[in-house]
Order: sequence, then C-alpha cells, then structure tokens
Amino acid sequence: MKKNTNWVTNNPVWRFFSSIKVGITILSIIAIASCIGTIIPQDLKSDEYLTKYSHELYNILKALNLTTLYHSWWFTTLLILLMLNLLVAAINRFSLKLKSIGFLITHSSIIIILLGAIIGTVKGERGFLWLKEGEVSSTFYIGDVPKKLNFQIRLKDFILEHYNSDSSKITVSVTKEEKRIEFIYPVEMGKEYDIPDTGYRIRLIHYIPDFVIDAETKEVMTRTDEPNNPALQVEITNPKGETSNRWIFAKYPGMHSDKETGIDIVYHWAPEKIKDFKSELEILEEGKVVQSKTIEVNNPLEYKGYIFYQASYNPEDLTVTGLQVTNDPGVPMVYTGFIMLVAGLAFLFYINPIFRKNKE
Amino acid sequence: MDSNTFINLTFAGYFLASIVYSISLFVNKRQVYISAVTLYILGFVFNTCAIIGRWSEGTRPPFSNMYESLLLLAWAIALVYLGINLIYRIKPLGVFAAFASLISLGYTSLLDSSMEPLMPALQSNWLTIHVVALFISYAAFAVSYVAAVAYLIKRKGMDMGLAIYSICLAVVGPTLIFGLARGGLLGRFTQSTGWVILLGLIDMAISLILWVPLYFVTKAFKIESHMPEESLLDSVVYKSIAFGFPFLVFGIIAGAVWANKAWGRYWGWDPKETWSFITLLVYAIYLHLRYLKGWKGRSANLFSIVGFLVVIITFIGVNYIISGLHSYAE
Repeated sequence: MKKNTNWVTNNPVWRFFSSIKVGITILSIIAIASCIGTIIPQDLKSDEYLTKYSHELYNILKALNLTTLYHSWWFTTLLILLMLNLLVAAINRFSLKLKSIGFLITHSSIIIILLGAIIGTVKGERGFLWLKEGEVSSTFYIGDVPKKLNFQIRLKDFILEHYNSDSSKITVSVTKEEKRIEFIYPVEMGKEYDIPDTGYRIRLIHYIPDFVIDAETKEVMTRTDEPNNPALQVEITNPKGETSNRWIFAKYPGMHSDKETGIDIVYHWAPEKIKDFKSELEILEEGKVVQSKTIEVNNPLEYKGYIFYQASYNPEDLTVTGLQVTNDPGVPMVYTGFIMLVAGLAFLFYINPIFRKNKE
Repeated sequence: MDSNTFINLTFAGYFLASIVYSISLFVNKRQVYISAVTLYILGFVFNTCAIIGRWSEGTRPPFSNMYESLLLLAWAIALVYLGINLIYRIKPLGVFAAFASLISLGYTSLLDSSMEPLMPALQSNWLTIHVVALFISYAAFAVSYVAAVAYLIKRKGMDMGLAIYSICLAVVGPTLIFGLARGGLLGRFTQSTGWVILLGLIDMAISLILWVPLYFVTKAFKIESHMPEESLLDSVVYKSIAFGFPFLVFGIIAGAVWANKAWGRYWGWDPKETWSFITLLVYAIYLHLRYLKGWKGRSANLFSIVGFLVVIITFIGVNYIISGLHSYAE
C-alpha cells in the first residue's frame, strides 16, 4: 500500500497537512479566534454595534468578519483545514492494531462531526412559528421568509404551569383571651378555612395582580398583568354568622388591621415561578390527524424530519404558543460522531493504559 | 440534619484538613498525615451528605446555580484528589487539594443559597449527566494545576513566582466577580468590552498585592523542599489531564445533545459553549504535544496552568461577565 501512495505522501501539500505542528497551529488559531468572538458581541444589528463602537472601528470589525465570526469564510476555512489535517493524520497512521483503534476512532469522529455540521449548515432549515389555540398552519418563517410545509399543524391547547411549592400564603392572627394565635394558610381561591377555636371562617374570593381603584366609580380593577400590587379579597364570617369583605395587600400589610373583629390577616405574596410550557399539537394530512403530542421544553415533536420545539409564549396572550421549527439532516451524522468520539477517547485514555500496564 | 448543617460540617472538615495538611509538611510524622487524610475524607463524606440533602430538600438535582456548583466542585476536587492519591501517593499535594476544596466551598458564603425551583429548560436528566461529567473534569484539571504549581514551586526563582501569581489570579478573580455581583455592581462590567478588560487589569493588580506576602511565606518556609519529586509531579499533571479530558468532552457532548433536545440546535457558539470549546482545544494541544513530542517539564507545566485559568474563565467568568444562554447559572 505504501508504494502506491508514495506520490501522494511525498507531495508537499500532503506533508504539510500531516505535520503535527500545522495541526497544533490550526487548533491554536481556532482557540484564539473563538476567544475573540466572545469578547466582541456576535450577530447584532448594525445600529446596536454603533452604540458600542465608533463608525471606523465597526467598519474594520465588519471587514474582518469579526461581527459574524463563527460563520465567516475564514473561520469555516480553519475548520476545513483542521478536517484535512485530521484526515491526513488518520490515513498516515492507519493501522488495525488494537493500540491504534482509539486514535482512529477519535480522529475520524471529529471529521464525521464536522461533515454533519456542514450538511446541517447547507441543507438545514431553522425557523419559527406562532400558533393560536385552534389555529391550523402549514407555514413557518425563516427570518421573514415564509416556508411551506407539506402537512399542517394545529394547536389544540397551550398550558402554562406554575410552581406552587413556594406559593403565596396568608397569616391569620386572632386575639383570644388576651393571647394572640397565628394560623398560616396557602392562597387558594374559593377555599374556605375554619379558624380553630374562634368561630371565624374566612374565604378567599378574588386575586388582583396590580390593584387599583377607580376614584369615581369605586370599581376595583387591575392596572396591568404584572404583580405590582398584588391584592386579595377575603370574605370573613364571624361567630354570629355575619359576613364582611376585606381587601388585603401584600405590599401594605398594616392597612386593614381590624380592631373590632379582632382578626388580622396578612398577605405574603410569592412570585409564581414558571414550571413548564406545554403545547398540545396535532399534525394533519389532508384534514386527518396523523400524529398528536403534547410537547414541552426538552420534549419536542418530530414529523417528516421537521422538529417542533416549545420555544416561546406570549405573556399578554396565553392562548398563543411560540414554536421553533428545525429540519437538520446532519444531526444523525453528528450524533454518530459524538458516540465515536466518546468511545475513542475512552479507548485512548482509559483502556489503552490498562493494556500498556499489562504489557509491562 | 438538614443540608445547611452538613455544609457547616463540610466546611469544618476541609478547614481542619487544610491546617493539619500544612502541619504535616513540616512535622514529618505518619500520625499527622493520617489525621489530615481522615479529616479530608470526613469533609468529603459531609459534602456528599450536603449534596444529597439538598437534592431531597429541593426535590430536584442540586446543580442549577453558582452556589450549588461550588458545593459540587469542592466535592469533585476531594473525590479526584483522594482517588489519584490512592494510585500515586502524592501526600504533599493534599495541602493544595484541601485548600482548593476549602476555597471553593468558602466562596459559597458570598453567594445566594436559596433553592429556586428549576426553570423549564433545566428540567431534564441531561442536567445531572452534563454537570457531573464537567465537574469531574474540572476537578481533574484542578488536581493537574495543583501538581503543576508544586512542580514550579520546586524550581524556585521566577517559576515559583509565576506559579504563586497564578494562584493569586485564580483566587482574586472569582472573589472580585462574586463580590461585585453581590454588591450589584457587576452590571457595569457586562456592558462593554472595555469594562471586561478593566476588570481583568484590576484582577491582575490586586493579585500582585496578594502575591508579595504569599511569595515570601513560601520562600521563608522553604515549602519547595517538602514537595514530591519533579518527575512524579510531572506525571501527575499529565495523568490527571488525561483522566479529565474525556470527561470534559463527554460533558460538552451531553450539553450539545441536551441543547438539541431543548432548543433544536446542538451548537450555537454561545459564550459558555465557546469557552468550554477553548478549554477543550487548550488541553487537546497539551495532550498532543505530550504524546507526540514528549513535551514535559517547565514549559509544559506552565502551559497546563494557562489551561486551568481558562477553566476558571469558562466556569465563573463567562457566567457573570458575558451574557448568554448559560447566564441562569448565576
């Protein structure tokens, strides 16, 4: 085999790529370039850059592709040079001996990952789709460009889940026989609580995130959906069976301490943390449902190479979901490379040393 | 007992271990060394209990913010050092390892310890795999760093000075960042390239002030004469990098697969991803030169120190200074 490839391996280009010095130089340049790309913000709009840098500097950065560094022609060239270097190294040291298996798998895996990445860049699609509950669509947008799917997708339901482990609470304190007793209850609308040994009952009727009261009509309403002034309306039933209403405010705890009834309620508001976003999706072909799945973050839906990810939502309108749509035919190759890389490194650094030790 | 009690016990364990290890350098008695190791192991056991306790109290894997990361890092350093010590018997390095665990845990007092529920993107089994693999690699690199520092201290003179300066940089930088973050002043630095460079310069300047006493203490106590042989240290540097490297790659790949599952992309040149990639390249260069050219000794160990400073930038710097997808790790 060596004889036949002599004209190849003696070629200066081949010898250039087979040199480890060249390999290390390429790795170093990629490392330094990557570092620069994290210091200069990437892929912003030109006016955003102009607030950070002067006009001249921005033009220089742009001319050197430093604002879109990772997709620039020269960075891509570096990655291709690395690939060639690995390829030549792998061929030069090709051998089916046990001790070189690790080397071979590791180095070819990187070539496979890079090839998969190139396929993804050239053939892949990546866009976005907003869907309203009940809406059917077959178009997603890559930037502003619409792209047609040969099937339809429908949003049956969008669900936003909150954590309630750390949820809001109320403290009810009652003075009885000159002793103050405190009770703590979770905030749950409509729930009625019996305050033990006092004869009082309380019920939570309303929650308002940003309480305001109209000065003229005395109507209570919310200014925004943001919890700027969370308030609860509580219905209190005294031992005689008379009921009264009261608003309590998380930000103004002392506002309504009622001396007459001897019952004091404090509202401890806690922010509601988002636990999960879920979209119930259906795929339709010629009007028929062919697949349905409730997707959530970390659990997308795949159909005909397209993958739909739970990516966003609209806090103003909770019937709308934001879906990331991708189609990347390079992924299987990249994943194959990943598995090979892990296996190859395990061979090189964990299995080979054991063999070497046994030999000694 | 709750996890906070265990954290205090861990702290006590690492603190006492650091002191007894320091004494063991000068009092060459077996009993002293054995009590140092016992204390370190005890600290490690408490550290394990603290992590498990936090896991059960929060009913979620405790790997989501900087506080929890540092708790894990202290644990991983103890694990990797104690493991490597079983093979190589590098007793005198214990003092550095115990101090590294102690410092890592000590930083948690600057940070918010509250247990927030996991945001949707973090609710995945990949979280545990990704984080634990990376922290084992970080700990292995920390052990290699410790050995490289010991190697250079042994050479005295300028090399000793550089090694000690790298310790100052590694300690002052994160302290500065956590301190500024706590005071709410870090926002200024995240706004522009100029501020980031200024922060680097401040780190270097303060490190220089810290360097002076540390250098003269090291010299006065002749710490270099208590360090293991140069060839042993050199081999520990190489072997711990060789041990950690596959974990680094596996951790990055686990992150890539997870990102593809959550966001539909396995690589996006997010600053954290990029810096972990730079770490990978730096150690890949080291391993190639070592394997193919037999590169060892002074320059190789200096290079491995640079590698570890890159790890610190990846682990702490990027989270706070450069915003990106991983900024929730604050």
